[in-house]
Amino acid sequence: MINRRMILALSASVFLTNATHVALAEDKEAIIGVATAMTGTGAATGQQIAAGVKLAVDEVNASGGINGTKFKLLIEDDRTQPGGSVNAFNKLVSMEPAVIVGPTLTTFMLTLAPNIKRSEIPVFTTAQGAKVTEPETGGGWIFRAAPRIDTMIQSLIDYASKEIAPKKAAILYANDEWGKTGYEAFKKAGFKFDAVETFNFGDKDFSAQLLRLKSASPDAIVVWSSLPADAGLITNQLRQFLPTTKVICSNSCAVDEYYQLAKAGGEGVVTVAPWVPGLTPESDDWAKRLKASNASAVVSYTSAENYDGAMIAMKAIASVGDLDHGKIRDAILATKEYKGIVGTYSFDEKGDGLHGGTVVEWTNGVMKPVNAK
Amino acid sequence: MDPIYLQLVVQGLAIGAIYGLVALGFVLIINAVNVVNFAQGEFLMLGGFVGLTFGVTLGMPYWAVLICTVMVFAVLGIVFDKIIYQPLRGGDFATHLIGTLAAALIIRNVAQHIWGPEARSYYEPFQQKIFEVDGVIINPQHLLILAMTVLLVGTLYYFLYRTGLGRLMRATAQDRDTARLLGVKVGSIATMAFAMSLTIGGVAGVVVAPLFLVDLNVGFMAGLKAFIATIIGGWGSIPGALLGGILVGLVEIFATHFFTASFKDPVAFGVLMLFLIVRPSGMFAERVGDKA
Amino acid sequence: MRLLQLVALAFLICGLVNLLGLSAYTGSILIFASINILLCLGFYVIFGLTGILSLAHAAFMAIGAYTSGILSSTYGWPIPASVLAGTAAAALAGALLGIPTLRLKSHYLVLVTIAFGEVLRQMLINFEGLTGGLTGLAVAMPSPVEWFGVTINPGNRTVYLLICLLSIAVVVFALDRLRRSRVGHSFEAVRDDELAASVVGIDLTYTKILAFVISAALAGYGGALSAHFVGFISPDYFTFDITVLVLAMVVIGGKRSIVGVIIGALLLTFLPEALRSLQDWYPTFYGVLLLLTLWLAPYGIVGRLEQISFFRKLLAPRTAVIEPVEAARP
Repeated sequence: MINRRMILALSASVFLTNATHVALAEDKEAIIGVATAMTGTGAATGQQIAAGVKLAVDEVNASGGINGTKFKLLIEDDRTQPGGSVNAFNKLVSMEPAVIVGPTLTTFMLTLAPNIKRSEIPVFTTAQGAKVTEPETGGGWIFRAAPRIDTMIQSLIDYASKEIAPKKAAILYANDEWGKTGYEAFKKAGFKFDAVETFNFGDKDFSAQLLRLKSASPDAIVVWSSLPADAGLITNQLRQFLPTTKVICSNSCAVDEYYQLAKAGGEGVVTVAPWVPGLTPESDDWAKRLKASNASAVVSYTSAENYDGAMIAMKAIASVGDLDHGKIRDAILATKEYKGIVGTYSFDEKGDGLHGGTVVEWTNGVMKPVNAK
Repeated sequence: MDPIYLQLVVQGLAIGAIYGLVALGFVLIINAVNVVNFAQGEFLMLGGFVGLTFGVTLGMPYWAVLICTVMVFAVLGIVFDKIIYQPLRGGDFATHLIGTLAAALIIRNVAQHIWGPEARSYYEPFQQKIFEVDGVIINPQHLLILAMTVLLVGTLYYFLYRTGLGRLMRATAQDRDTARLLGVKVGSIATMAFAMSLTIGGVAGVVVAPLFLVDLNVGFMAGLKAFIATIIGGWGSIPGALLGGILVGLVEIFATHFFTASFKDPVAFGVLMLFLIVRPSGMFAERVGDKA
Repeated sequence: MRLLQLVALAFLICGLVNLLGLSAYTGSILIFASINILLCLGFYVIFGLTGILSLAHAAFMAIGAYTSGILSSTYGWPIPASVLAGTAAAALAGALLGIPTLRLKSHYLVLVTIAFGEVLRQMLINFEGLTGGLTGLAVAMPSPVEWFGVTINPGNRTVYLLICLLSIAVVVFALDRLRRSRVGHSFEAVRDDELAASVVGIDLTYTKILAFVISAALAGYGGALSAHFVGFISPDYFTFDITVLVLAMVVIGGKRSIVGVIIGALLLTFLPEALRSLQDWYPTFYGVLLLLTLWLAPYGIVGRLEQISFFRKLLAPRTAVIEPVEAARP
């Protein structure tokens, strides 16, 4: 029954399996894996994640490690594809990491969740969707170094309903998972919209939506997008049709990239950020260290949150002293009142470390915190 | 007419002209070698970054930026022809589809390494100025693009149908082998076509930068819409590219107005599918033989 | 090839792989590779055999994946039944797309099928109650079953890989039969010259729709298998990118040969993984390698191998790949 063709196929399969069989790392360093987008449409945020984690690992190693434990960083690119994220994650899993830092898109985290549950490795993420840290999603292995969307939005809603108190409000949100979650969160908090419009990925002209919103003559417009580029384009065009309406924006506006894109359209926009650069001397210093380590790194809440997440993870690993994932998980969960760059981390039973956000307004190109009186 | 509809028509025309501008790049290549270059959208992206480098990093005036962009993309066109098109010459539609998409992958990746993954802005030459006529808001950048597209359509039409070189180009697309037998240097014709096509793409990138921003992700969607415009307009038809683009722009914006954006693409694509099923040769009769 | 040989081969590969050690990574890559092979075999039927360039493969995958996912998770169907239903739904969708597009050719067909894929994806996004919208849908993972006192756990990677490999064995066997049957010849006749085919009495409508149905069914099956392996699906999965990937696999391996499309699928599944060490330079190298392969092997890798006498003997006489007619075309 065995013929030449079968022999050929067999030898090919042996060759291919050998090619993909990965030798395990021999050194004793604890591995911190990063599985996120380094290329593709999500590259901008993915690079920020990697830059934040890299700075944390480099700093710890430069100071001789924590309790003698040194760390090794491995970055795998998920190419901004769901299938790619599974491969990147599994590739890291076979390198036996102590902790993995995952992608920042909620959909991607949910795609990885069955794998995370199965491999039982603590995973840090900055994805903000509420579902991510639900126990049935990741089985308790997912930790969030960012505020959950509803807690972050709540501070924005508090400010908006007290200080702006619009008689009529409208929303324009991205027809993606982040836009939808934002819209739902506003609705859930009892925020009333007189006009609701959406836009799609890749849209460059928003006049049809803005004109419909305009006919509702709102005093405030919420713009909920996931990309700073979309937010920049929208607020620019919005200013053409509605020059005086107050604009409330998602956290995609809470990065310097946004203001650079929106220019005049960004002035006076109110947004919410987990972290605002330059508010404290510590964060100023951190931003300088990040820039010094890598000139092209972007100072943003994403890089800062992932820096903090990696620091918390490394402290937990060092305190456990071995690579028992269950013990590392418990140590992370036990982290309370940890002062990070972004804020103070206290993990609740679901694995959410950070709560709330700072409401800011763009004034002369700088984010200025504004507080509800 | 309700000023809202007038405004929508203005915006639809402007976006449509952009699609038409990108579609001209497609049409030129179709007319010369009867191949679809799926990397065309990426030149729009690349043009924005090149314009940004000349205009902001090097601080050149706008006219100089345009001239330098033309030169850069003419050279890129020659390179593209030599290393992407020529090796795959003679392949079928699928080969060129994969080949040009592979090229698009490379262009995007190299651009990410040169300029970084973050989006940038380039608001030359009108900054963010707009003016209002009878309650309708007009963006001068839109006028510039519309004027440019119409001018290019006229020039290219004249070139392809009234000049000897243009006729040679169309002859090559119709029948490469016969053209060669008749003494046409088919290789140089293709090179020239790619240089021209990329130049159009690159300059389009500079002029749409204030509207689309300078962003790595600009290329694919704009390319797809322009491809639709190319086919709706009629395979290889120069005026068809502009009209097809405007039709796509108008359908999109009115679909958004009447059905909300989440149903915009299904409606726009649905109209397109119906259109092609009912009238498979596009608005203008096919000008290049369908041999693919 | 006999079915028994192929099944034995599937068991052998699976056993061998298991012997070498199946890590999470190797396991999932091999499973993705097998699923890609199934997708490519589906694409081979419509593109390689019948010559119809339909770029709606991702849409058929999505239909299979979502049908199976919704039936199993929301309505509690057993997974084998839901996978079959997904396959059938995709086949039906194939017929529905095939009928109105019968008259369309080349770039027109390409565009209409791309549009079909986009419309379907938007529908998945918009009908949130059913599909989970953009956030996606958690899909039931296979649970252990007991057959005659033996417990089999398809959730285990080795077992899942074996299921995929056995599926490939059956599909390869069936397609090889099909190709040499009357129906297969009519597929090829339609590809080579539609007019001549209709003159000799081949029913063009029936033949083309059948090609659409088989191709879509295989895509739907592959989609359903990947949904139950990953355990989560979202519209992000089923973009134009994945259709282009399948097309590239088929063209690079050799679109006219079953062995060819399998080689293509394996190569383009492993290549991006092999290029991981390049980090964020990988797309450039991947693109260059694709272009080089297209240039060096315009008829696919199998087409190139056939020019080497050793391989020609191995592959002959059942795979005729090089088509001089094609080569002469502009």
